[in-house]
Order: sequence, then structure tokens, then C-alpha cells
Amino acid sequence: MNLYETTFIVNPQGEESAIDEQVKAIGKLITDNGGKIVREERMGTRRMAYPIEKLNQGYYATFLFEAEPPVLPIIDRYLKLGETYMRHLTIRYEGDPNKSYADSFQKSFESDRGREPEDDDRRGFRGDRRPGGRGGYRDSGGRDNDSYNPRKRNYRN
Amino acid sequence: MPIMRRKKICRFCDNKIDYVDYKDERMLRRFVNDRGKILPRRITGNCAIHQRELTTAVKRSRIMAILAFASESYR
Repeated sequence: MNLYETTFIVNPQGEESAIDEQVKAIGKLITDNGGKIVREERMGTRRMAYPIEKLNQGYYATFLFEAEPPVLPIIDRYLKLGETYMRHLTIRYEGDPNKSYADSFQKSFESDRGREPEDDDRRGFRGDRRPGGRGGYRDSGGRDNDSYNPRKRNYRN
Repeated sequence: MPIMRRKKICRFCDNKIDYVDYKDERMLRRFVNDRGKILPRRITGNCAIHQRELTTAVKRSRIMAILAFASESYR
């Protein structure tokens, strides 16, 4: 028995009960095929980072479950074919099923209060590089468009 | 040329986090710039292991539309 996690997005349009049905259907599919659900999480209807199937929102749900490998294609097939399932992702779960990771992150990032994510981009500026790229020690590199040698007379333009 | 600041410790190692959840948008956002690009290790200060895990987590979350692949502004 391996631990897997499947997350999927259900079309949020329609009644809440209908959406719930879709989610439950996956759960049932898991257990019908010998799987054991460890945890069910609903992230609810939320905005998606980009439109999928012309919609901007989706209903997210996750199942953490134990099952034998042959079960996976069955679930995958079901999720792929269903018209109400807009996206799905199944992974082998690496974390500890008993731990909730949402809390541990929050605590660790408290020291970051007041820091904007954009600030990080400018640190680590390593200066302009000499052109020529990664020619190594053999070739003379690429063109240097910035230096000027008055002795050379072959400058076009 | 300035050397990488070694004083920065890996946030995940420091807090003994051993699993990077791709569904945790708030946490993932910190490691992505305003255009949605993943920040390099020399800026995030993560250790190699966690940077790799973070990268796969970000990529997964992009697939699941939790994060964007590319964006104009911080959203």
C-alpha cells in the first residue's frame, strides 16, 4: 500500500450539492477499489492563477489515500474523462500524513513580516559580465560592442 | 565580485520542514518574483535540497493553477 495524494479542480458552477457529489464520487472510487482515504481536504472555490476552460474560479479538493498501484490508472481515467473535472494531479505523497504542513510554514515565516517579495530580486547582482559567454580558454569569445579602439579602422557605420 | 552571503540559512532546514507542499500558495509566493519566476538560490538562501523541492512544488502548483506560469504584476 502506497500513500498517494490526488488534487483536482471541479467546475464551480452549479449547486453546492452537485459539486459535493463530484468530490464524493472520487472518494467513493478510491474506496471501491480497495483504497483507504487518510485525509480529505477542501480548498473550496478559489481564484485560479489563469483561466481554465474559460473560467477563473475552481473548486479544489484533495484526497490523501493509501492504495495499491493498479488503482491509480482507474482514478486517473475517471478524472480525465469527467467533464466536470478541469484539472487533476496525483502524486506519491512524501510528507507525513499525520502532520499538517500549513501551520509549520506559517510559524517559520513570521520573521519575514514586513518584507516585500520583490525586494529579493535585486540582491545578488553580480555586475555586468564580459561578453563572450562560455567559450572557455580557447576561443576569443564573442563580439564586444562597447569598447572602441581608435587604431582599428574597420568600424562600419 | 561579491561572494554569496553564507550567513543566510535555509528556512526549511532551520524550521525542520521536510516536505514542501505545492498547495501552500502563501508560502510558495515568497520564493517567486513579481513576474512569477522562481527566485534563484543565491537570493532565497535555501539549501540545495530544499531549493530543488521548492522548484518542483512551484511547478506543480503552476500546473494546478495555484500559481501562475507568468504574470505581469504580483498577483
